[in-house]
Amino acid sequence: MRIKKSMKSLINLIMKWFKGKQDYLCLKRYPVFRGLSHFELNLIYQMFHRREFHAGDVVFEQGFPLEVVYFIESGKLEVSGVPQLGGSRILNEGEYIGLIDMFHEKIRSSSAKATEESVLLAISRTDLQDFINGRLTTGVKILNNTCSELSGFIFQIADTLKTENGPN
Amino acid sequence: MDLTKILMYLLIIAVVLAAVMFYRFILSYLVISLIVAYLLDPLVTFWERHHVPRWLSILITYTSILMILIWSMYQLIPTLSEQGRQLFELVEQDTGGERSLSELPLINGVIRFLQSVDNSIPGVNLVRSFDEFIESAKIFLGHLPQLIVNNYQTILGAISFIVIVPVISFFLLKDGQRLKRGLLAVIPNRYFEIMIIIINKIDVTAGRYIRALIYEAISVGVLCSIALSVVGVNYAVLIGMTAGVANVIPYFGPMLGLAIAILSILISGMDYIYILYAAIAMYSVQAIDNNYLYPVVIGKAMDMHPLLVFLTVLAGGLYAGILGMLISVPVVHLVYSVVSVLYSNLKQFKII
Repeated sequence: MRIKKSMKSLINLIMKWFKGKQDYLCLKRYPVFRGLSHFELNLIYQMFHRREFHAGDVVFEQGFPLEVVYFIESGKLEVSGVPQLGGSRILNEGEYIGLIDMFHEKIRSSSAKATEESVLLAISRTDLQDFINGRLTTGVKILNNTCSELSGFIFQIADTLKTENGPN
Repeated sequence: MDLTKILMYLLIIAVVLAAVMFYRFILSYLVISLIVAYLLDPLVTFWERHHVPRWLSILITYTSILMILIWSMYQLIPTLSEQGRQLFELVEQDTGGERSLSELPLINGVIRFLQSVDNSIPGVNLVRSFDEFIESAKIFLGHLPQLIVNNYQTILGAISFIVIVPVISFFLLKDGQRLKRGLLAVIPNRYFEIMIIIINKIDVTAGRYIRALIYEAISVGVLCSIALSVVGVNYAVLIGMTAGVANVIPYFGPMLGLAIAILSILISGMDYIYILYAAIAMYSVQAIDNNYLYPVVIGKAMDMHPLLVFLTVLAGGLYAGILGMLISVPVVHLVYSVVSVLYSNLKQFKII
Protein backbone atom coordinates (compact mmCIF):
# COMPACT_ATOMS: atom_id res chain seq x y z
CA MET A 1 0.00 0.00 0.00
CA ARG A 2 2.77 2.43 0.96
CA ILE A 3 4.84 1.40 -2.04
CA LYS A 4 1.84 2.06 -4.28
CA LYS A 5 1.40 5.52 -2.75
CA SER A 6 5.04 6.44 -3.09
CA MET A 7 5.05 5.15 -6.69
CA LYS A 8 2.09 7.36 -7.41
CA SER A 9 3.78 10.42 -5.96
CA LEU A 10 6.95 9.60 -7.90
CA ILE A 11 4.95 9.36 -11.13
CA ASN A 12 3.29 12.64 -10.27
CA LEU A 13 6.68 14.22 -9.71
CA ILE A 14 7.97 12.95 -13.06
CA MET A 15 4.81 14.12 -14.82
CA LYS A 16 5.20 17.53 -13.22
CA TRP A 17 8.81 17.67 -14.34
CA PHE A 18 7.77 16.77 -17.89
CA LYS A 19 4.96 19.27 -18.03
CA GLY A 20 7.15 22.15 -16.87
CA LYS A 21 5.79 25.23 -15.19
CA GLN A 22 2.03 25.19 -15.00
CA ASP A 23 1.28 28.88 -14.55
CA TYR A 24 -1.82 28.49 -16.66
CA LEU A 25 -3.57 26.51 -13.93
CA CYS A 26 -4.44 29.80 -12.24
CA LEU A 27 -7.06 30.26 -14.99
CA LYS A 28 -8.95 27.19 -13.75
CA ARG A 29 -10.66 29.10 -10.95
CA TYR A 30 -12.56 31.37 -13.35
CA PRO A 31 -15.95 29.97 -14.40
CA VAL A 32 -15.45 31.28 -17.95
CA PHE A 33 -12.67 28.76 -18.57
CA ARG A 34 -14.52 25.84 -16.99
CA GLY A 35 -14.08 22.57 -18.86
CA LEU A 36 -11.05 23.62 -20.88
CA SER A 37 -8.22 21.12 -21.23
CA HIS A 38 -4.72 21.94 -20.01
CA PHE A 39 -3.60 22.40 -23.60
CA GLU A 40 -6.33 24.96 -24.22
CA LEU A 41 -5.67 26.72 -20.92
CA ASN A 42 -1.99 26.96 -21.75
CA LEU A 43 -2.74 28.41 -25.18
CA ILE A 44 -5.06 31.02 -23.75
CA TYR A 45 -2.64 31.81 -20.95
CA GLN A 46 -0.06 32.85 -23.57
CA MET A 47 -2.26 35.87 -24.29
CA PHE A 48 -2.62 37.03 -20.71
CA HIS A 49 -0.67 39.90 -19.18
CA ARG A 50 0.02 40.01 -15.47
CA ARG A 51 -0.52 43.51 -14.03
CA GLU A 52 0.17 44.62 -10.48
CA PHE A 53 -1.76 47.46 -8.89
CA HIS A 54 -1.15 49.26 -5.61
CA ALA A 55 -3.96 50.31 -3.28
CA GLY A 56 -5.72 53.33 -4.78
CA ASP A 57 -4.41 52.80 -8.34
CA VAL A 58 -6.92 53.44 -11.08
CA VAL A 59 -7.45 50.35 -13.24
CA PHE A 60 -9.63 52.04 -15.81
CA GLU A 61 -11.85 55.09 -16.03
CA GLN A 62 -15.34 55.77 -17.26
CA GLY A 63 -15.53 57.21 -20.78
CA PHE A 64 -12.29 55.64 -22.01
CA PRO A 65 -12.18 52.97 -24.73
CA LEU A 66 -12.72 49.38 -23.61
CA GLU A 67 -10.14 46.89 -24.78
CA VAL A 68 -8.88 44.88 -21.83
CA VAL A 69 -10.78 42.31 -19.75
CA TYR A 70 -9.41 41.95 -16.22
CA PHE A 71 -9.49 38.77 -14.13
CA ILE A 72 -8.69 39.30 -10.46
CA GLU A 73 -6.04 36.91 -9.20
CA SER A 74 -5.60 38.54 -5.82
CA GLY A 75 -6.77 41.71 -4.11
CA LYS A 76 -9.96 43.72 -4.40
CA LEU A 77 -11.39 46.17 -6.93
CA GLU A 78 -14.00 48.84 -6.40
CA VAL A 79 -16.16 49.41 -9.47
CA SER A 80 -18.28 52.53 -9.65
CA GLY A 81 -20.35 54.04 -12.41
CA VAL A 82 -23.74 54.21 -14.07
CA PRO A 83 -24.65 50.51 -14.43
CA GLN A 84 -23.75 49.62 -10.85
CA LEU A 85 -26.77 49.19 -8.59
CA GLY A 86 -26.28 51.31 -5.51
CA GLY A 87 -23.37 53.33 -6.85
CA SER A 88 -20.47 50.94 -6.45
CA ARG A 89 -19.60 47.31 -5.94
CA ILE A 90 -16.57 45.42 -4.68
CA LEU A 91 -15.06 42.66 -6.79
CA ASN A 92 -13.05 39.93 -5.08
CA GLU A 93 -10.53 37.30 -6.08
CA GLY A 94 -11.75 34.95 -8.80
CA GLU A 95 -14.10 37.54 -10.30
CA TYR A 96 -13.64 39.48 -13.50
CA ILE A 97 -14.60 42.78 -15.07
CA GLY A 98 -15.29 43.69 -18.69
CA LEU A 99 -16.04 40.24 -20.09
CA ILE A 100 -19.76 40.77 -20.63
CA ASP A 101 -19.29 44.43 -21.56
CA MET A 102 -16.83 43.54 -24.29
CA PHE A 103 -19.59 42.18 -26.48
CA HIS A 104 -21.51 45.42 -26.79
CA GLU A 105 -19.46 48.33 -25.53
CA LYS A 106 -16.62 50.30 -27.01
CA ILE A 107 -16.45 52.83 -24.18
CA ARG A 108 -16.16 52.02 -20.48
CA SER A 109 -19.38 52.69 -18.61
CA SER A 110 -17.76 52.47 -15.19
CA SER A 111 -14.49 53.14 -13.41
CA ALA A 112 -12.43 50.70 -11.36
CA LYS A 113 -9.93 51.26 -8.60
CA ALA A 114 -7.79 48.84 -6.63
CA THR A 115 -8.60 49.05 -2.92
CA GLU A 116 -5.59 46.98 -1.86
CA GLU A 117 -2.48 45.47 -3.42
CA SER A 118 -3.91 43.52 -6.36
CA VAL A 119 -2.70 41.27 -9.15
CA LEU A 120 -4.89 41.26 -12.24
CA LEU A 121 -4.69 39.04 -15.28
CA ALA A 122 -5.42 41.16 -18.33
CA ILE A 123 -6.40 39.95 -21.78
CA SER A 124 -7.11 42.02 -24.87
CA ARG A 125 -10.58 41.43 -26.18
CA THR A 126 -9.25 41.41 -29.75
CA ASP A 127 -6.95 38.52 -28.81
CA LEU A 128 -9.75 36.73 -26.98
CA GLN A 129 -12.18 37.12 -29.86
CA ASP A 130 -9.55 36.02 -32.39
CA PHE A 131 -8.95 33.00 -30.19
CA ILE A 132 -12.67 32.19 -30.01
CA ASN A 133 -13.06 32.58 -33.77
CA GLY A 134 -9.88 30.66 -34.55
CA ARG A 135 -10.46 27.60 -32.35
CA LEU A 136 -14.09 26.76 -32.64
CA THR A 137 -14.29 23.88 -30.14
CA THR A 138 -12.54 25.88 -27.42
CA GLY A 139 -14.38 29.02 -28.48
CA VAL A 140 -17.78 27.35 -28.08
CA LYS A 141 -16.83 26.23 -24.57
CA ILE A 142 -15.81 29.75 -23.60
CA LEU A 143 -18.94 31.28 -25.15
CA ASN A 144 -21.11 28.66 -23.44
CA ASN A 145 -19.56 29.50 -20.08
CA THR A 146 -19.98 33.23 -20.76
CA CYS A 147 -23.66 32.66 -21.56
CA SER A 148 -24.26 30.75 -18.34
CA GLU A 149 -22.47 33.50 -16.41
CA LEU A 150 -24.61 36.07 -18.18
CA SER A 151 -27.87 34.27 -17.41
CA GLY A 152 -26.86 33.95 -13.76
CA PHE A 153 -26.15 37.67 -13.77
CA ILE A 154 -29.55 38.49 -15.26
CA PHE A 155 -31.38 36.37 -12.70
CA GLN A 156 -29.38 38.02 -9.94
CA ILE A 157 -30.44 41.46 -11.19
CA ALA A 158 -34.05 40.31 -11.45
CA ASP A 159 -33.90 39.09 -7.84
CA THR A 160 -32.43 42.38 -6.67
CA LEU A 161 -35.17 44.33 -8.45
CA LYS A 162 -37.86 42.05 -6.99
CA THR A 163 -36.65 42.54 -3.42
CA GLU A 164 -36.36 46.30 -3.99
CA ASN A 165 -39.87 46.61 -5.42
CA GLY A 166 -41.49 44.34 -2.84
CA PRO A 167 -43.13 40.93 -3.34
CA ASN A 168 -45.86 42.08 -5.75
CA MET B 1 13.32 64.07 -9.77
CA ASP B 2 16.41 63.31 -7.75
CA LEU B 3 19.94 62.91 -9.03
CA THR B 4 20.13 59.09 -8.87
CA LYS B 5 17.01 58.78 -11.01
CA ILE B 6 18.44 61.14 -13.64
CA LEU B 7 21.74 59.24 -13.61
CA MET B 8 19.88 55.96 -13.99
CA TYR B 9 17.93 57.28 -17.00
CA LEU B 10 21.15 58.61 -18.54
CA LEU B 11 22.74 55.20 -18.06
CA ILE B 12 19.78 53.49 -19.73
CA ILE B 13 19.92 55.91 -22.67
CA ALA B 14 23.67 55.35 -23.01
CA VAL B 15 23.22 51.57 -22.98
CA VAL B 16 20.47 51.78 -25.63
CA LEU B 17 22.63 54.03 -27.83
CA ALA B 18 25.61 51.71 -27.45
CA ALA B 19 23.39 48.74 -28.31
CA VAL B 20 22.13 50.49 -31.46
CA MET B 21 25.72 51.32 -32.47
CA PHE B 22 26.81 47.75 -31.84
CA TYR B 23 23.92 46.05 -33.64
CA ARG B 24 23.48 48.53 -36.50
CA PHE B 25 24.98 46.17 -39.11
CA ILE B 26 22.37 43.50 -38.51
CA LEU B 27 19.50 45.98 -38.34
CA SER B 28 18.52 45.29 -41.96
CA TYR B 29 18.53 41.54 -41.25
CA LEU B 30 16.28 42.18 -38.28
CA VAL B 31 13.82 44.29 -40.28
CA ILE B 32 13.60 41.70 -43.06
CA SER B 33 13.20 38.89 -40.52
CA LEU B 34 10.43 40.88 -38.90
CA ILE B 35 8.63 41.20 -42.24
CA VAL B 36 9.14 37.49 -42.99
CA ALA B 37 7.82 36.57 -39.55
CA TYR B 38 4.85 38.85 -40.13
CA LEU B 39 4.08 37.23 -43.46
CA LEU B 40 4.36 33.68 -42.17
CA ASP B 41 2.51 34.20 -38.91
CA PRO B 42 -0.98 33.36 -40.28
CA LEU B 43 0.33 30.10 -41.78
CA VAL B 44 2.01 29.09 -38.53
CA THR B 45 -1.11 29.93 -36.57
CA PHE B 46 -3.12 27.84 -39.01
CA TRP B 47 -1.05 24.73 -38.23
CA GLU B 48 -1.02 25.50 -34.53
CA ARG B 49 -4.79 25.61 -34.58
CA HIS B 50 -4.76 21.93 -35.53
CA HIS B 51 -2.95 21.01 -32.30
CA VAL B 52 0.52 21.08 -33.84
CA PRO B 53 3.17 22.51 -31.46
CA ARG B 54 4.36 25.92 -32.52
CA TRP B 55 7.97 24.97 -33.28
CA LEU B 56 6.75 22.10 -35.44
CA SER B 57 4.26 24.34 -37.25
CA ILE B 58 7.07 26.79 -38.01
CA LEU B 59 9.16 23.92 -39.40
CA ILE B 60 6.22 22.69 -41.50
CA THR B 61 5.69 26.21 -42.86
CA TYR B 62 9.39 26.61 -43.61
CA THR B 63 9.61 23.27 -45.39
CA SER B 64 6.52 23.86 -47.52
CA ILE B 65 7.68 27.35 -48.52
CA LEU B 66 11.16 26.04 -49.30
CA MET B 67 9.64 23.35 -51.54
CA ILE B 68 7.49 25.90 -53.36
CA LEU B 69 10.51 28.20 -53.79
CA ILE B 70 12.74 25.42 -55.14
CA TRP B 71 10.01 24.21 -57.48
CA SER B 72 9.30 27.69 -58.82
CA MET B 73 13.01 28.40 -59.21
CA TYR B 74 13.46 25.24 -61.28
CA GLN B 75 10.42 26.16 -63.34
CA LEU B 76 10.82 29.90 -63.54
CA ILE B 77 14.42 31.05 -63.27
CA PRO B 78 15.70 29.49 -66.53
CA THR B 79 12.77 30.92 -68.49
CA LEU B 80 13.09 34.27 -66.76
CA SER B 81 16.83 34.64 -67.29
CA GLU B 82 16.59 33.41 -70.89
CA GLN B 83 13.85 35.92 -71.68
CA GLY B 84 15.74 38.70 -69.93
CA ARG B 85 18.95 37.86 -71.79
CA GLN B 86 17.18 37.87 -75.17
CA LEU B 87 15.59 41.22 -74.44
CA PHE B 88 18.84 42.83 -73.29
CA GLU B 89 20.74 41.45 -76.29
CA LEU B 90 18.13 42.94 -78.60
CA VAL B 91 18.73 46.42 -77.25
CA GLU B 92 22.46 46.14 -76.66
CA GLN B 93 23.25 44.74 -80.11
CA ASP B 94 21.43 47.65 -81.65
CA THR B 95 24.48 49.26 -83.23
CA GLY B 96 23.04 49.52 -86.70
CA GLY B 97 23.06 45.83 -87.57
CA GLU B 98 20.29 43.93 -89.30
CA ARG B 99 18.14 43.95 -86.12
CA SER B 100 18.50 47.70 -85.63
CA LEU B 101 15.67 49.69 -84.09
CA SER B 102 15.18 51.56 -87.41
CA GLU B 103 14.55 48.21 -89.10
CA LEU B 104 11.44 47.63 -86.99
CA PRO B 105 8.26 47.93 -89.06
CA LEU B 106 6.75 50.66 -86.86
CA ILE B 107 9.78 52.95 -86.91
CA ASN B 108 10.46 52.20 -90.55
CA GLY B 109 6.93 53.29 -91.38
CA VAL B 110 7.33 56.52 -89.43
CA ILE B 111 10.60 57.31 -91.24
CA ARG B 112 9.00 56.69 -94.62
CA PHE B 113 6.07 58.97 -93.69
CA LEU B 114 8.47 61.70 -92.52
CA GLN B 115 10.49 61.34 -95.72
CA SER B 116 7.36 61.98 -97.77
CA VAL B 117 6.62 65.05 -95.63
CA ASP B 118 10.19 66.27 -96.16
CA ASN B 119 9.89 65.73 -99.87
CA SER B 120 6.63 67.69 -100.16
CA ILE B 121 7.64 70.51 -97.78
CA PRO B 122 11.31 71.41 -98.33
CA GLY B 123 13.46 72.73 -95.47
CA VAL B 124 11.68 70.98 -92.59
CA ASN B 125 14.18 68.13 -92.34
CA LEU B 126 12.04 66.03 -90.03
CA VAL B 127 13.92 62.83 -90.81
CA ARG B 128 17.13 64.08 -89.23
CA SER B 129 15.49 65.27 -86.02
CA PHE B 130 13.60 61.98 -85.82
CA ASP B 131 16.90 60.15 -86.28
CA GLU B 132 18.38 62.14 -83.41
CA PHE B 133 15.34 61.32 -81.31
CA ILE B 134 15.76 57.61 -82.08
CA GLU B 135 19.46 57.87 -81.18
CA SER B 136 18.73 59.36 -77.75
CA ALA B 137 15.94 56.84 -77.17
CA LYS B 138 18.42 54.08 -78.05
CA ILE B 139 20.89 55.42 -75.49
CA PHE B 140 18.14 55.52 -72.86
CA LEU B 141 16.95 52.02 -73.71
CA GLY B 142 20.55 50.79 -73.61
CA HIS B 143 20.82 52.05 -70.05
CA LEU B 144 17.44 50.68 -69.01
CA PRO B 145 18.39 46.98 -68.83
CA GLN B 146 21.44 47.89 -66.78
CA LEU B 147 19.20 49.87 -64.42
CA ILE B 148 16.78 46.99 -64.06
CA VAL B 149 19.61 44.52 -63.64
CA ASN B 150 21.16 46.65 -60.91
CA ASN B 151 17.89 46.88 -59.03
CA TYR B 152 17.10 43.22 -59.49
CA GLN B 153 20.51 42.51 -58.06
CA THR B 154 19.61 44.50 -54.95
CA ILE B 155 16.40 42.52 -54.69
CA LEU B 156 18.22 39.27 -55.29
CA GLY B 157 20.87 40.38 -52.78
CA ALA B 158 18.24 39.68 -50.15
CA ILE B 159 18.73 36.02 -51.04
CA SER B 160 22.17 36.22 -49.41
CA PHE B 161 20.28 36.67 -46.16
CA ILE B 162 18.95 33.20 -46.73
CA VAL B 163 20.93 31.66 -43.90
CA ILE B 164 20.42 34.32 -41.24
CA VAL B 165 16.91 35.59 -41.88
CA PRO B 166 15.11 32.24 -41.39
CA VAL B 167 16.91 31.73 -38.09
CA ILE B 168 15.91 35.16 -36.74
CA SER B 169 12.39 34.73 -38.13
CA PHE B 170 12.12 31.35 -36.45
CA PHE B 171 12.67 32.87 -33.03
CA LEU B 172 10.47 35.86 -33.80
CA LEU B 173 7.69 33.48 -34.86
CA LYS B 174 8.16 31.18 -31.91
CA ASP B 175 8.57 33.78 -29.17
CA GLY B 176 6.92 36.80 -30.77
CA GLN B 177 4.01 36.64 -28.36
CA ARG B 178 6.37 36.37 -25.41
CA LEU B 179 8.40 39.29 -26.78
CA LYS B 180 5.24 41.38 -27.04
CA ARG B 181 4.28 40.45 -23.47
CA GLY B 182 7.74 41.37 -22.25
CA LEU B 183 7.52 44.76 -23.90
CA LEU B 184 4.03 45.36 -22.51
CA ALA B 185 5.14 44.34 -19.02
CA VAL B 186 7.32 47.45 -18.68
CA ILE B 187 4.49 49.79 -19.73
CA PRO B 188 2.97 51.62 -16.72
CA ASN B 189 -0.61 50.71 -15.82
CA ARG B 190 -1.94 54.03 -17.03
CA TYR B 191 -0.74 53.44 -20.61
CA PHE B 192 -1.26 49.68 -20.70
CA GLU B 193 -4.71 49.57 -22.26
CA ILE B 194 -3.95 52.21 -24.89
CA MET B 195 -0.71 50.41 -25.84
CA ILE B 196 -2.70 47.22 -26.43
CA ILE B 197 -5.24 49.08 -28.56
CA ILE B 198 -2.50 50.79 -30.59
CA ILE B 199 -0.53 47.57 -31.13
CA ASN B 200 -3.67 45.71 -32.22
CA LYS B 201 -4.73 48.45 -34.62
CA ILE B 202 -1.27 48.79 -36.15
CA ASP B 203 -1.18 45.02 -36.48
CA VAL B 204 -4.50 45.05 -38.29
CA THR B 205 -3.77 47.98 -40.60
CA ALA B 206 -0.06 47.55 -41.29
CA GLY B 207 0.32 43.79 -41.02
CA ARG B 208 -2.64 42.86 -43.13
CA TYR B 209 -1.72 45.53 -45.67
CA ILE B 210 1.85 44.23 -46.11
CA ARG B 211 0.69 40.62 -46.32
CA ALA B 212 -2.05 41.48 -48.78
CA LEU B 213 0.32 43.51 -50.94
CA ILE B 214 2.78 40.64 -51.33
CA TYR B 215 0.12 38.00 -51.91
CA GLU B 216 -1.51 40.25 -54.49
CA ALA B 217 1.79 40.97 -56.29
CA ILE B 218 2.55 37.26 -56.54
CA SER B 219 -0.91 36.29 -57.75
CA VAL B 220 -1.11 39.13 -60.29
CA GLY B 221 2.38 38.21 -61.55
CA VAL B 222 1.41 34.58 -62.03
CA LEU B 223 -1.93 35.48 -63.65
CA CYS B 224 -0.28 37.98 -66.01
CA SER B 225 2.36 35.44 -67.04
CA ILE B 226 -0.31 32.86 -67.76
CA ALA B 227 -2.56 35.29 -69.64
CA LEU B 228 0.28 36.67 -71.78
CA SER B 229 1.58 33.18 -72.56
CA VAL B 230 -1.91 32.10 -73.60
CA VAL B 231 -2.15 35.12 -75.91
CA GLY B 232 1.31 34.34 -77.28
CA VAL B 233 3.28 37.46 -76.38
CA ASN B 234 7.07 37.00 -76.23
CA TYR B 235 8.81 37.27 -72.83
CA ALA B 236 5.46 36.56 -71.14
CA VAL B 237 6.92 35.44 -67.82
CA LEU B 238 9.30 38.38 -67.54
CA ILE B 239 6.59 40.92 -68.38
CA GLY B 240 4.09 39.15 -66.13
CA MET B 241 6.39 39.16 -63.11
CA THR B 242 7.33 42.80 -63.67
CA ALA B 243 3.64 43.69 -63.98
CA GLY B 244 2.98 41.83 -60.72
CA VAL B 245 5.65 43.85 -58.93
CA ALA B 246 4.44 47.09 -60.53
CA ASN B 247 0.94 46.25 -59.34
CA VAL B 248 1.76 47.47 -55.82
CA ILE B 249 1.39 51.03 -57.17
CA PRO B 250 -2.31 51.74 -57.23
CA TYR B 251 -3.90 53.16 -60.42
CA PHE B 252 -0.59 53.42 -62.33
CA GLY B 253 0.94 50.00 -61.73
CA PRO B 254 -1.43 48.12 -64.06
CA MET B 255 -0.87 50.72 -66.80
CA LEU B 256 2.89 50.34 -66.32
CA GLY B 257 2.54 46.59 -66.83
CA LEU B 258 0.62 47.10 -70.04
CA ALA B 259 3.15 49.73 -71.21
CA ILE B 260 6.01 47.29 -70.69
CA ALA B 261 4.11 44.63 -72.61
CA ILE B 262 3.42 46.99 -75.53
CA LEU B 263 7.02 48.21 -75.54
CA SER B 264 8.37 44.69 -75.72
CA ILE B 265 5.94 43.80 -78.52
CA LEU B 266 7.13 46.85 -80.50
CA ILE B 267 10.81 46.17 -79.83
CA SER B 268 10.65 42.50 -80.72
CA GLY B 269 8.92 43.41 -83.97
CA MET B 270 5.78 41.35 -83.45
CA ASP B 271 2.54 41.97 -85.29
CA TYR B 272 0.60 45.02 -84.00
CA ILE B 273 -2.45 42.87 -83.35
CA TYR B 274 -0.55 41.44 -80.36
CA ILE B 275 -0.88 44.84 -78.66
CA LEU B 276 -4.64 44.33 -78.67
CA TYR B 277 -4.24 40.75 -77.42
CA ALA B 278 -1.88 41.88 -74.64
CA ALA B 279 -4.28 44.68 -73.65
CA ILE B 280 -7.16 42.21 -73.46
CA ALA B 281 -5.04 39.78 -71.43
CA MET B 282 -3.89 42.47 -69.00
CA TYR B 283 -7.41 43.84 -68.74
CA SER B 284 -8.84 40.45 -67.82
CA VAL B 285 -6.14 39.99 -65.19
CA GLN B 286 -7.01 43.41 -63.79
CA ALA B 287 -10.70 42.49 -63.81
CA ILE B 288 -9.95 39.32 -61.81
CA ASP B 289 -7.68 41.28 -59.49
CA ASN B 290 -10.16 44.10 -58.86
CA ASN B 291 -13.21 41.89 -58.44
CA TYR B 292 -11.84 38.81 -56.68
CA LEU B 293 -8.29 39.23 -55.36
CA TYR B 294 -8.31 42.79 -54.06
CA PRO B 295 -11.59 42.59 -52.08
CA VAL B 296 -10.54 39.28 -50.54
CA VAL B 297 -6.93 40.04 -49.60
CA ILE B 298 -6.97 43.79 -48.89
CA GLY B 299 -10.64 44.26 -48.14
CA LYS B 300 -11.57 47.87 -48.41
CA ALA B 301 -10.04 50.06 -51.05
CA MET B 302 -7.06 52.20 -50.17
CA ASP B 303 -8.44 55.73 -50.02
CA MET B 304 -5.53 57.61 -51.52
CA HIS B 305 -6.25 60.19 -54.18
CA PRO B 306 -4.78 59.35 -57.63
CA LEU B 307 -2.95 62.69 -57.70
CA LEU B 308 -1.35 61.94 -54.33
CA VAL B 309 -0.39 58.48 -55.58
CA PHE B 310 1.17 60.03 -58.69
CA LEU B 311 3.14 62.61 -56.71
CA THR B 312 4.27 59.96 -54.23
CA VAL B 313 5.49 57.68 -57.00
CA LEU B 314 7.31 60.62 -58.58
CA ALA B 315 8.96 61.63 -55.31
CA GLY B 316 9.91 58.01 -54.57
CA GLY B 317 11.44 57.71 -58.03
CA LEU B 318 13.49 60.87 -57.60
CA TYR B 319 14.59 59.78 -54.16
CA ALA B 320 15.52 56.13 -54.70
CA GLY B 321 15.03 55.12 -58.33
CA ILE B 322 12.83 52.22 -59.40
CA LEU B 323 12.82 50.65 -55.95
CA GLY B 324 11.68 53.99 -54.52
CA MET B 325 8.84 54.18 -57.02
CA LEU B 326 7.68 50.72 -56.00
CA ILE B 327 7.79 51.05 -52.23
CA SER B 328 6.93 54.75 -51.83
CA VAL B 329 3.14 54.33 -51.97
CA PRO B 330 2.99 51.43 -49.48
CA VAL B 331 5.41 53.23 -47.15
CA VAL B 332 3.41 56.47 -47.27
CA HIS B 333 0.19 54.56 -46.71
CA LEU B 334 1.70 52.69 -43.76
CA VAL B 335 3.07 55.84 -42.13
CA TYR B 336 -0.24 57.60 -42.67
CA SER B 337 -2.28 54.78 -41.12
CA VAL B 338 0.05 54.37 -38.14
CA VAL B 339 -0.01 58.11 -37.41
CA SER B 340 -3.78 58.30 -37.76
CA VAL B 341 -4.24 55.31 -35.42
CA LEU B 342 -1.91 56.96 -32.90
CA TYR B 343 -3.67 60.30 -33.17
CA SER B 344 -7.23 59.03 -32.81
CA ASN B 345 -6.38 56.76 -29.88
CA LEU B 346 -4.27 59.23 -27.97
CA LYS B 347 -7.14 61.67 -28.40
CA GLN B 348 -9.64 59.10 -27.07
CA PHE B 349 -7.48 58.50 -24.02
CA LYS B 350 -7.16 62.26 -23.47
CA ILE B 351 -3.36 62.05 -23.55
CA ILE B 352 -3.13 64.75 -26.23
